[in-house]
Amino acid sequence: MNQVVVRWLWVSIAAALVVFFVAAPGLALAAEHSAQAEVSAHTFKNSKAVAFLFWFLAAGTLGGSIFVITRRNMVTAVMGMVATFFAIAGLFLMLYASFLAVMQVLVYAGAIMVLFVFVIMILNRPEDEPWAIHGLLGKGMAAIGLLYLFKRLASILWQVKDTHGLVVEKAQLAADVVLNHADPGVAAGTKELITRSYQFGSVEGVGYTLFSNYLFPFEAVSIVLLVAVVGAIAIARPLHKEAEMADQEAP
Amino acid sequence: MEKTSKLLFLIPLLPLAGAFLNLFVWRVLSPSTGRLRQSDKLTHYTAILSVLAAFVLSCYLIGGPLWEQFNVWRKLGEGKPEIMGGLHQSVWTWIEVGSLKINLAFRLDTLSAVMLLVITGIGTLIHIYSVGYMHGEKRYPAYFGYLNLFTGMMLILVLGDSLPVMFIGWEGVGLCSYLLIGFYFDEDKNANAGRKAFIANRVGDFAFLLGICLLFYATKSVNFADLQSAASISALKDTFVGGERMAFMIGLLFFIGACGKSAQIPLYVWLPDAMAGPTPVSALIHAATMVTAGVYMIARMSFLYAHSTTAMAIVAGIGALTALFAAIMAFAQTDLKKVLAYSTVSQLGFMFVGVGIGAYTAGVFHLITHAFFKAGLFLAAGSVMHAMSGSGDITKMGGLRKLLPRTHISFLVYCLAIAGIVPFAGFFSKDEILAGAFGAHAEGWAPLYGKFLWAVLSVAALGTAFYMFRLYFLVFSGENRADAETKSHIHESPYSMTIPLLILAAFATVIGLIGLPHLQGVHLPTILHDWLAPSLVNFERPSLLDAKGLPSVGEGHASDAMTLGLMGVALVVGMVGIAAAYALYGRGPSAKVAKMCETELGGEVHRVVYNKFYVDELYEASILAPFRATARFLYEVVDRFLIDGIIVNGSAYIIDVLSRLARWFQNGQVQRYLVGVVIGGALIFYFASSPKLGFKYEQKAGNLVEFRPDVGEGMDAKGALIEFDFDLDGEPDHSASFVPGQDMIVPYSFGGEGSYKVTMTMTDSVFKKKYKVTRTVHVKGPDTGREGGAQ
Amino acid sequence: MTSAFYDLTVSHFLILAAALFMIGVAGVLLRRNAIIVMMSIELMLNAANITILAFSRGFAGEHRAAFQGQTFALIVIAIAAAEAAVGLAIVVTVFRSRRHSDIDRLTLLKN
Repeated sequence: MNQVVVRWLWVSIAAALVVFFVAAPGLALAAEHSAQAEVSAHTFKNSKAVAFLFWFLAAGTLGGSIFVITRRNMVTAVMGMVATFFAIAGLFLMLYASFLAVMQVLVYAGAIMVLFVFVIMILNRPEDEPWAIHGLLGKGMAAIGLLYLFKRLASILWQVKDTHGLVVEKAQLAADVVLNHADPGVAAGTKELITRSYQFGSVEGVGYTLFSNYLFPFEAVSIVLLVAVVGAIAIARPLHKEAEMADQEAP
Repeated sequence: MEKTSKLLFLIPLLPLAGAFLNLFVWRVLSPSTGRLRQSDKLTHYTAILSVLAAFVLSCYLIGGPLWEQFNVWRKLGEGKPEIMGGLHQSVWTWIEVGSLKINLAFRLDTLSAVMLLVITGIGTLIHIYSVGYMHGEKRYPAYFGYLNLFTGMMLILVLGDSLPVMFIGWEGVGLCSYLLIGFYFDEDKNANAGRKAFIANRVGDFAFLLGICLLFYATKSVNFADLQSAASISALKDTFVGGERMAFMIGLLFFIGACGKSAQIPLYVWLPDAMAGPTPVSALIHAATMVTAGVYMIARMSFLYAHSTTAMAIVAGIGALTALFAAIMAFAQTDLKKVLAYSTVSQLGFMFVGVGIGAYTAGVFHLITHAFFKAGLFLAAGSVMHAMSGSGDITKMGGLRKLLPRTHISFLVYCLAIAGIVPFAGFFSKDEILAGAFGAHAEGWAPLYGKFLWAVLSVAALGTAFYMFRLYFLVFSGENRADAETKSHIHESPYSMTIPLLILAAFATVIGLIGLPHLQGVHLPTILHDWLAPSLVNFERPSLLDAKGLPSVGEGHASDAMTLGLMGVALVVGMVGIAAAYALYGRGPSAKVAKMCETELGGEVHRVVYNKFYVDELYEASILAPFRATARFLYEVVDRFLIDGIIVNGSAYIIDVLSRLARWFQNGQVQRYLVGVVIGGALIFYFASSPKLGFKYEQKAGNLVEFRPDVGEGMDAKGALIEFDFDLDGEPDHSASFVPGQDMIVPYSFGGEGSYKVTMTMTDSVFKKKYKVTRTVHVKGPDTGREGGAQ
Repeated sequence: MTSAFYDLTVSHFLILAAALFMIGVAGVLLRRNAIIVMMSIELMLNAANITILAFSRGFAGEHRAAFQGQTFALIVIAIAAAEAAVGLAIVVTVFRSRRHSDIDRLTLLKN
């Protein structure tokens, strides 16, 4: 590997680590904050720290992904990808999906990206002409279309109001009213609700849903994975003749 | 009164079986080599024996059961049926649709019996003659197969019990005629002659078919027995179409059919060209049998024609004109067979006059005698051409009397017969028609119409005698004008050819005796008249018919002196014709004729006659040229330009352009497909979110007007700010946020009656984009208090 | 602007996911290396995941259904892993036989 590759490799890893380790304390802060701050049904807690955290992660995500699709060297692209995934994991945390965030780091940033790196190493062929220049007209039109689509989508998404709010927030809203309720049953129920609300996004919560309501999709996914593994081996394995030739050449 | 016969269907079946064997077995088994083969013997034995068997069977059926029935019928006294049923056989049910039931049924009555004997008898002789004439022909089995097929179809035609069955035969003989005229299709001329015959026949056949349909429409029946029932007759004579009886319309259509088949004006043009076929074919089809089918059909439909004097007048008039003009056209022809062809057309005209004036027996009588002498003439002509190495040009003949003695003697007999010289056959039959025409009159006919027909026919008869003996003298007397090469090959034909000639000559001599004239004083046997009486409408026994308004014609009205006088006139006319021919052509082509042709008038007349009155050219100019122009227009403009150019190639071009467009997307690259997805998604958003802004208003009590904003289907409207400006000051007078699904009503009270401009503005909640619409609102004043107050 | 900057709503996450998705689409559109294209696909899948989780966070009311979105996102991750494995295997095979992984030049099914 040449010098450029090595340099970008280190830069990427460093960026990813910085993103993650800045995100983690921020998230902890946010979680605490949200538990204590006054309830709002529509917005996150009015914390500048949380807002900055979001914009930081957003910048990481978008920057990383643009980095991915603009690099000529594939290894650097993969590194940008890893950074992107870390940032996305941070976003997951902000969305109270702690288990998913962990999974994101483990599966994506870990396993899948390692797979990509392995394949790149196997191929070992630097890209000579990165841009697909065929049909530039169409691609230009597609780019305009993409921008227009994004504009329209954004204008719609901007109007999405999370009218329900979070279980957490609801529970907290109820807490003040109900904790001192005369009926001990209601009080106990509210307590349980609060307890459960802290489990939102936890391994226990996701696992409970996964193994109760979504058992069948879970098993189906396991079969899909099995098939994918067998299929990947079957496809990537050299043909019988080639393997024999490789054996002959080896010694 | 009819009897069922189980053998009747065999009569047409035997020749058809022979045709099947020849066409599908012998022809396939033997490759053509051009020599007489073992299989050729098989071929002509099959052909001859099948027709001969049909002849024998016909003789048996006519001489046995039919004769018995005829005698029984004749001896019946008062109240005997007008029509004798004859022998009948229903083979199977052919068509059964609703009330229409058509059996494949045959009927042998006295009329069809006559035709049967002519067809099978003369047919057998011609088959035998063909063996010698077609010797060494390449397509020998095909020839005999067609000939047999023709015989079978002709027998179906005459034996058919109903019009549709008759029509099978009618079309079948047309087909065989086409096949045989174009038998030597190697030459374009011959193939074209076949097509011409077929097309001219098609014109007639179509009219015939229309006639059948109209007849079925009028009477609900198509078989001859039902058609003669009182109900059908009443339907034919009491229904009027455009001032004429239904019988006239149907009769006219049938006559057009007969014109096609029997070569009458204006459809006769195919017959002279039909001489392109082998000579025996001309004898059998175009002289003796097929061309007489029209006459037979009209005789068969006599009960129909009896009810329309107009139709009969047309038939007779056309027949007389045809007889005259064809005779004149025959004057200047130089081809042996062409002369005979025009002669046939002319004689057919005589027959049509016969059936047209109601003298059906006379028409059929002439049909019989003509069948013998004209078939004989053609066969003799074939024999002459055989001797002259195939050439039929009479200017190159002459002096063949010594060289072809048997052919000569029979040819002379035929000529005397057709010229109407006592006692040969043609004299009696032609005289009967002439006499009938002389005395014919019917209500509604012009006065002296019968006399006019008689005069025309007499001139035609004069012409007949003249051109026949012109032919005779040019061929058989004088010096031989052929070149040496041809001369050296002249020889008398083999016996297979000359024996049929002599047999026919014998018949042409004596067959006239079956139709001796009616004389009041002496009772001569009138065999044919008696024999045909039970099958034809008889005007002497009008009980079956509507007596009023019928031609008072037919046989036996005239006095003896009249009859004998007319016979004398006819004989003199024939003699004069012969004498004129002898004077001009007695020693071959004379200088007199040449000199006459050199004068201005004579040359002009000769040219017109030689070119057959330019009828072919007239058809060319009036029908064919416009037809070709139309065809060229259809080809050049409609087909080439419109269909090929615009519809076919144009659609292909459009598809091509569209395909190029589609191929631009379908290039197999996923990226290109993704481009399509993205652009498509963008377009969906674009079109789904363009607001079509507007508002409705409704005037409530007084000056209060309610406004309802209409923001269209766009997405932008959600949460958008709607503002109304009622007084055009630029400042919104009312503003509210639009909520989808809720009815937004904006009330406003105007100052008074009049027109106001109202502006509505919508501001998109995301991008603050403004949409603006301005409309004029009319506020009406209160109705009460105006114009005196109606309420 | 300040309010839109500080007051975070679900919309922020959704629009971010949309932007990420568009970048992924652009990557698939513009790049010709099969591996980069696959990485772009992974980006799009992640954008989808962010959207799912954002809606889950914003709209999961009843606690029984509260984890539907997260469960679904987990399944998406699993499927993405399977897809990456098979896709990379194909890339490896193609590369082995053709010595390149340029999707512009993989036109075996064309014509």
